[in-house]
Amino acid sequence: MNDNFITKRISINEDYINNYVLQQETGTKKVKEIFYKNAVNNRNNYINKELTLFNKYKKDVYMELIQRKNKLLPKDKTEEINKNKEQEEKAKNLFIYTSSIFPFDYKLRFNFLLSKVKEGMSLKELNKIIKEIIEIFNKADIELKPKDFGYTMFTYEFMNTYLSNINNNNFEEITLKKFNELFYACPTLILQLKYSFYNIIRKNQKQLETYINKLNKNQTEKETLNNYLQTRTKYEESYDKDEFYNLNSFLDKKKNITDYIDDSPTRIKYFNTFEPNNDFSKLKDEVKTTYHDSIIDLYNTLRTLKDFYRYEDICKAILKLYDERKDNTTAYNSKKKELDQENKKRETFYKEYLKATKKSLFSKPNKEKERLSKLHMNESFDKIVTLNNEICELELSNILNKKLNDASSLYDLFASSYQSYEYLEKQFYKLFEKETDFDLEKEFERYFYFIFSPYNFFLRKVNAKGGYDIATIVSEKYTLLNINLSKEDIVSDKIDSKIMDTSFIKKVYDVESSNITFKQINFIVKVNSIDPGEEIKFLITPEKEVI
Amino acid sequence: MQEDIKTLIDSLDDESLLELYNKIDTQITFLNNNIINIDEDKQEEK
Repeated sequence: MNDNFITKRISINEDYINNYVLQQETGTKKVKEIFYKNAVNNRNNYINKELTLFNKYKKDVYMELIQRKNKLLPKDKTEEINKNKEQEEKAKNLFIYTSSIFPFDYKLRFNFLLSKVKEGMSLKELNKIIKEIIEIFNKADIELKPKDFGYTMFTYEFMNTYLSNINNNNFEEITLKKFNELFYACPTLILQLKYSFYNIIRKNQKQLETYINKLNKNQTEKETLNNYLQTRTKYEESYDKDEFYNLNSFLDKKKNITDYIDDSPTRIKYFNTFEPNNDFSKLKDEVKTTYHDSIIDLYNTLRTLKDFYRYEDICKAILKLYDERKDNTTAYNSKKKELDQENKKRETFYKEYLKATKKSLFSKPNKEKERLSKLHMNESFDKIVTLNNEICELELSNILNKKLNDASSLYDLFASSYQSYEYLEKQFYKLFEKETDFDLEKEFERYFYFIFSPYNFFLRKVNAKGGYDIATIVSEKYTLLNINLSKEDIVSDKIDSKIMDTSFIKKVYDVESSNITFKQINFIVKVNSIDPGEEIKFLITPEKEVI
Repeated sequence: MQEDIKTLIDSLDDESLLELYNKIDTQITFLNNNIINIDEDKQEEK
């Protein structure tokens, strides 16, 4: 900044005040006192005049700073970004509907809903989930009636009350009363209701599949997957490059703006990290463009690779099931036969119960037979649950036998895991339940994002059976693109550091391709950090000040 | 004087304006620090 009348005045003031004579060396004490008092008064008067003037300058300059800052503030495009997210969600659902990877019950979210049905849950929550499931059936033009719930006498009793009182104002109290009444005779009522729904879903498979076919709008799996990947990239880019969110990450100090401005040592260090000669500045412009594309691609690939490490144990477990498929087929067939037999017994117990409770001209209800049929039903149900748990892995192994072959890729392997929601659910609980923020539905979402990612080239290229070294495959790809990256840099315990490095460079590119510059962000951050004092703050109305 | 400050503000880019603000703020602190309260001086002498 060149000299101006304010800097000149500052210089004059400092000179005047610092050299102002306040004390007289000669004269009596009284004379000296009078001289000091007068000098102090005179100098104070001068200073007060200057203070008035400089406070005015301060206000004027501050107001101008605020005005300039406000002009630079980007528009909050949250609504637009949320719309992109909704589009991505719609495209994802359409892909799920059209894809042969997902079983019909997964497509209609029955698994998600029923996985929440657990012993010990509140009745209010149970009622809500049942309502949601009934609504899905209704959408598929299937009206569920009490007779559909004859899985056991207990599920029938409960659902009869549920469906007969669904519009009653006292619905919660009525169902609670019925639940408590049944619970003593059937402590596994919640689980029986869950299995009863599985049973109904299976019985209505054809009609539910017809409904799904209507939803997929005659598009092919390939088209919907491409559309999903495009909308996902659009959403991610709109968020990553958004000026409002980027500015806020500096204002709330998640990121330090001084690291990002041109010539910052931190910025130079990060940009040199992946340049083979450790000097990004010496690259030609066209090479810098290629570097840009490679780094963005690497950032996305490393994030996908991190998730591969997260789910690698699932991959190994599925591969083991595939390898054991031949042995498992016999075990599966035998277990399936056992389960079918137990289900037949369950149906018999229910028929016995109906007979024992039936009133007619020729017979009267038989309390003892009713009690026995209930007892047998509970025992049979417990066996069904045990058999079902035992058959889960064998069933998946049996499906893998049909879905995979020795030439299948890692992508095929992961995709085939969707054939058993129950198996995946168990794996997620086993591997991640101890994480403080574990949430089953979010885990399923993360798993989906990982498998169906635009950056999963290594999953599609690598043969699942071949014994793989993903870190080498990824590092070799980027070495060919002239990126300094070794296999050791991206092994599972070091990958976070490389993600952080690429994330920094990506943020620079994101901001540089948006409508705000780091210089402008730096100015806004600096103006925001100014505390002009209460007096000046008071002058700024909320309309004028947008922080 | 008002016209002067306005002309000056308009002539400065963002960086220089921030610099000017900081100089003014430092000057205000300097001025405040140099005000002498005679009553306090007397109190100290006692």
